[in-house]
Amino acid sequence: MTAPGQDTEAALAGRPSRRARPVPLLPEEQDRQGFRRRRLVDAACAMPFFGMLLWWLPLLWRGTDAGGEGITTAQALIYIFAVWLALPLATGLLIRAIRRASAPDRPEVRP
Amino acid sequence: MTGQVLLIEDEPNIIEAIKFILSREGWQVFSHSNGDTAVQTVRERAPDVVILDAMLPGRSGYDILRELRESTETAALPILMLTARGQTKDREMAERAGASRFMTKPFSNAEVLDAVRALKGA
Amino acid sequence: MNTLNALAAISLGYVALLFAVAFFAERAAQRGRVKWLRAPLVYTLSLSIYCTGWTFYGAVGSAARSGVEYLTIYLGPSLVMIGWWWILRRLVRIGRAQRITSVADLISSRYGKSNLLGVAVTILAVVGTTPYIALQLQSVTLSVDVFANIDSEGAGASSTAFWVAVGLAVFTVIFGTRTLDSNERHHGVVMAIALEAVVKLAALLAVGGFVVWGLAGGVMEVLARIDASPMARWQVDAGRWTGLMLLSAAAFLCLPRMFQVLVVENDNDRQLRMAAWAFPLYLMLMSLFVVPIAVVGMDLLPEGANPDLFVLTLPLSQGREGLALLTFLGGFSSATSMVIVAAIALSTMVSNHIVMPIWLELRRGAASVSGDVRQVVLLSRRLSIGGVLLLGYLYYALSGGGAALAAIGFVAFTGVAQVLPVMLGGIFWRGATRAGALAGLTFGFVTWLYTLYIPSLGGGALFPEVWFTHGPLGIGWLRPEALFGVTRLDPLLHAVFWSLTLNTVGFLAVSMFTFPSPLERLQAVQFTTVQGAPGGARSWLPGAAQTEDLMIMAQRILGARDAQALFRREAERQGGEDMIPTPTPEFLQRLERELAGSVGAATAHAMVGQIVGGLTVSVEDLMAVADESAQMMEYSARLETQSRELTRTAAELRAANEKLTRLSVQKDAFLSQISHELRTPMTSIRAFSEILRDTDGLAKTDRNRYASIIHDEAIRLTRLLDDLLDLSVLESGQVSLNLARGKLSDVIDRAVAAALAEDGDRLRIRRRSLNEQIWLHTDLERLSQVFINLIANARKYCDAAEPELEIRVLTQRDQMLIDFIDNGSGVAAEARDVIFEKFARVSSDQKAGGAGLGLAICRQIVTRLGGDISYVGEHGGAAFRVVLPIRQEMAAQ
Repeated sequence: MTAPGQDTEAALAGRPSRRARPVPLLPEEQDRQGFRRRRLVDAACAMPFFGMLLWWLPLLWRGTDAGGEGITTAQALIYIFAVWLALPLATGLLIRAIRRASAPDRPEVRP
Repeated sequence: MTGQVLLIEDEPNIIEAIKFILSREGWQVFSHSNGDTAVQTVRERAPDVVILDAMLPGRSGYDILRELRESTETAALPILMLTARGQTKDREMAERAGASRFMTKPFSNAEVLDAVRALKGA
Repeated sequence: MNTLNALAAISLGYVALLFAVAFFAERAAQRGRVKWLRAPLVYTLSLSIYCTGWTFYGAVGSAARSGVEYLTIYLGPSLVMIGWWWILRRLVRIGRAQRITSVADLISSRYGKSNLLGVAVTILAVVGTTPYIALQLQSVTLSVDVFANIDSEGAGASSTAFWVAVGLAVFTVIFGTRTLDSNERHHGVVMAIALEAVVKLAALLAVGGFVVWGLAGGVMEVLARIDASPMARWQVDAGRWTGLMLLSAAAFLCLPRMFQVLVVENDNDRQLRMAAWAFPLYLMLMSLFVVPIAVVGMDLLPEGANPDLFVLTLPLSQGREGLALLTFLGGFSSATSMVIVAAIALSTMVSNHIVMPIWLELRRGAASVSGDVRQVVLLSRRLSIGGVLLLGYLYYALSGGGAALAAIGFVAFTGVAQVLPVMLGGIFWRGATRAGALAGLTFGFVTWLYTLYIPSLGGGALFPEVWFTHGPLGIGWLRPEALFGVTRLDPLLHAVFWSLTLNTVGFLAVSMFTFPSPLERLQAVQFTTVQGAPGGARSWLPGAAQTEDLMIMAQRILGARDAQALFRREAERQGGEDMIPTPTPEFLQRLERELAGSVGAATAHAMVGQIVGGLTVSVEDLMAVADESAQMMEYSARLETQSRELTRTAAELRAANEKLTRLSVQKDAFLSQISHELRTPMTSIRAFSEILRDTDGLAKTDRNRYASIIHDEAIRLTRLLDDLLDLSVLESGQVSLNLARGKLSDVIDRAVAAALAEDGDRLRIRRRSLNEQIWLHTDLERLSQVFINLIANARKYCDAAEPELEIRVLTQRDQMLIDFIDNGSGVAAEARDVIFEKFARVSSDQKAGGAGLGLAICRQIVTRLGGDISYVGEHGGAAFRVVLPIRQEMAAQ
């Protein structure tokens, strides 16, 4: 358990770390990354409830009363299918983002 | 009043002492010191009185006594039992086995003589 | 060439293609090329068995009849997939970790591996799935009929269902029970249904595209047509919309076939991550053209045409036979893939939870080989598949198809949804118990049967008509469609509401008031604490916290002292100052080994792995389990120790008692003996002294002789008394040793001379004086006394014709052994352990001449000299061994 201490010493003395390995993330960076990942997971968890809400919305709409104001089935269908397209895509994007956020070992830019 | 006495005893000194005491008064004394052959010797000699030690090599005196009492010809034979263990238990055993008299070692010479006489007279 | 024959040929060709795909996939899997078989896309497509023939054809029919309500059965599963993080991720991980083979297996193993629950879920699944299979057979038959009607031959259609069932059975048996994979994965089947998924989506999209762009003339036109149709007015029943959405979501999770593809066939999280967004899109595409097809179909087709078959009849009516054929294949794919997977899932359940337990019960006691069982399992799977399909066919044949079947979809959904509370409770709520699960399932199942399943068979089928209006026995609140007086509710929603409510209430209530068994608790912990579960994102940086957890656990299992010692040792080994070692692999391995000694290797591995890996079980729960097992182990160990101690004590007491009895008999015998030994010389002394006193004129020789007898006997008495005194002094420890230097050979010389003074020539002594050249520093007189006694004993008791005594001396490191071995018959076995006791005399032989004190005295002396004497003549003659210590300075000389 002495290795991290040595590394810190080396960093303090301004000497380069002897071993060639990815520069470890600073604690605050690590923290920020974890935080970001947790928020993304939160968003993923919220998705089904969001979807439920969106798909419950048509229940509140009033149908057209013989040409009066209201919504037609075609409009409703467009809405429902739009949500149906958007929700999975959003979910897919979230999953991708979460995977990126939880793979910090892979350096984005190589020096 | 004299007669034949068979002494069944294994301690040579005691045999000698009893022989001396009885023969001095005219008794004819034979001795036998083996338990195993004692009964046979009694039958062969047919003595008037038997003096039997309780502790013999080969066979205990009580055993010999019991066998003698079981046979008709020796059932009434006067037998004086001697023992070196002076416990009540031994006296009871001797009486149960059918001893005519019982005497604990060491004894006085007069006692032995009296006992033999009394047994012959009875 | 008529259409029907062409259809048959094309169907067979398609089936042959499926066989080929399945076959090559299986072969690839066997060769280990499973990477592409496990592709997330294949997994996603395999989920499409949710869209059965019922939905392929029926969705359009449903839309034509009751508007957009059909969407709910796709929206529900879409939400479940989008919310994969909540339930599916957990379910899939549990499925992989616990090697779950079916819904029944999940429930059974979660609740303490209860087979009763497994059987209950299996029955529920079979009852719920059979009508569904019948529905698929009907959809194929109906679609074939459509083509048959064109040829207006109209015959032989009823046998379609039968041959389809047989064909499916064959396919399923071949690819579903090819091997017995412990993971229950069927690459061939999954590949085939993935292909079918593509076919059915393509078919629906093709028909949809044809309808929208071919018939209606574009998207805007279609929308206009919709708004001009009878369903133009936006009108949804909020209750059914919500209820059906939830119901379909529940069924999506609980349907045996869905569980099979979702959980059992799942290989990794990657598959789920793709399916989470791709499958909702698939569902969306599947339902996209349903309303257009329905609307256009209603417009174009004659009044009274079956809207359930619009997908097929619409292209046909336009002369697009090729398109119709594709549609047919799509419908065929939907139906067959569902039946195949359902049959596999059900056969696994029936075989594992009903057939195998019964078979094993019957075979109990008979020796069974593993290969043997394997064949039986495969056979029972195959028979189960046949049975399931036969049931489906019989249901179809007996119900006569038609409208009664169309309604069965939701009925079946409601039935299998009864598993949901128990399933969710099982993976989220640790407090759920077996009894609770059983109660919930029973309540739900019975309510479902009563309020939905039996009424669905048609009024008067099983219940008298009057029950529906007045309730059984006139009890109004028991009316099957108005339970507890809840009227004016849609019968389906009524049944869903009551069955799931009673189910959940029963499950919760009974769980709260029952106590789970240890196995149940262990399983509960494993199922409810999957890594990454919400709230469980604890960090586990290697270090003190983790080691402390390990320490606490080790203490509970090994005991505080041993565990602390182990950890301190490890810390020292690692060179640390405090007693907290770093959890290195070496340390963990050693710890595991230590624990394995107490709780078994598997448990130890799991315990350590779970603390270190932060895996399935929380430390707290491990503690509970460890506590329990530690208590049980401790208790049983204590009992064992106690009973062992009792047995030992009893044996010791028995031995002691025997010894005491023997000693008491010996003591009595000794008292008699000592009396005899004292009285015998006294008798002679008294008799001869009286003779000397009373007899006058004894010859001088006689007088001398008698006096010498008296003298000898007096000496004999004295010797006896000396012995007794000697022994009592030795025993009381008041003896003072007269230590002197001397040679062992001298001591033995003296002893031999003394012991054989009387008849030296009878006993031959064999010695090796070379070995006897040992200097001693001891009480030579006392040692000599011991030797004299042993030699005298040999002289007295050796019963050989030519008695011989060997005196053997042996030097061993810091002690010497002096053995006295004669060639007689030795000491009788039963007498060996008493010969050293006081007053013990082995025979009543007079010539022994002693009172049985000799060996007792010897033992006392040797003990005083720091040695030991024992009888070693196990076989052959009597052998006594004297062991004496050699002083270092003595040995040096």
